[in-house]
Amino acid sequence: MTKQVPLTWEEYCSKFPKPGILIMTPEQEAAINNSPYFKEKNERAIRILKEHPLPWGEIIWKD
Amino acid sequence: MNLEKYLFEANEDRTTFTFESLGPNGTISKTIKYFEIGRLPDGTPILNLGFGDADDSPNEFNDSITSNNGDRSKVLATVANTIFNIFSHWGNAVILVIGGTPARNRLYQMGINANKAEIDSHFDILGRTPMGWEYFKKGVNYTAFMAKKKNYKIE
Repeated sequence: MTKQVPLTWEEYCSKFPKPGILIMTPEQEAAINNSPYFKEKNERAIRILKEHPLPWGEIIWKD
Repeated sequence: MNLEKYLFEANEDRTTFTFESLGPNGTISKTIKYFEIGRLPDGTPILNLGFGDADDSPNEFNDSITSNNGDRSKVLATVANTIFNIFSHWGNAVILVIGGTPARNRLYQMGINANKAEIDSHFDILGRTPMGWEYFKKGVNYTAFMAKKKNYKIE
C-alpha cells in the first residue's frame, strides 16, 4: 500500500492554475482604488477588526 | 480542490484579479481586489478581500457574487483560487473575507464546509461570532472569515 505523503505548501499551490497577466491603465487602477464600493468595504473591515481584535496583537493600521 | 474554475488574470503585485463569468445572463466582468488595511506587529499584512462586478460605468462596482449567471460554485472556486495565489505570491498574510450580506456569508460558509478537510490541511480559518474570533467550526454562523497559512506562527 502506498502511504500518502502530505504535500508541502509549494507542491500544493502548484496544483492550481496560475493567473494570466492583467495590465491596467492608471485610470483603471484608480477607479478600483477610489471606488466608493471598495472603500466602504474596507471601512467595514476596519470597524469589525476594531470591534473584535485579532488574537495576534495590535494592528498597525495602514492609514 | 478539483472544482471547476474560471481562468483569471492578476496584476504584477497580485492585488487585483479579474475574470469573466459566462452564463445565461451573458458575460459579467468580476474584479477581486485585496486591500492591505494594516499589519500585525510582526509585519504580516492584513488583506481585505473585496469582490465586485464591474458595472457598465468604469468606476462603478456592485456586490453580486450570484449574478444569476448559473455559475455560483465556479465563481466561488475562482475567488478561492485567488487566495492560493495571494499566499504563493505574498508569503505570509492574513486574509479577511466579509460578505456584504448574511446570505453572502452563508455562501462563503457553505464553500468552506464543503471543502473543510482539504482547507484544514493547509489553512487556519477563523470565523467571527458576536463574541469575537474563533477557529472555524461546522454548524456555527459566522459574520466574517479570516484565513492564514497553517503552521504559520504569528509571534
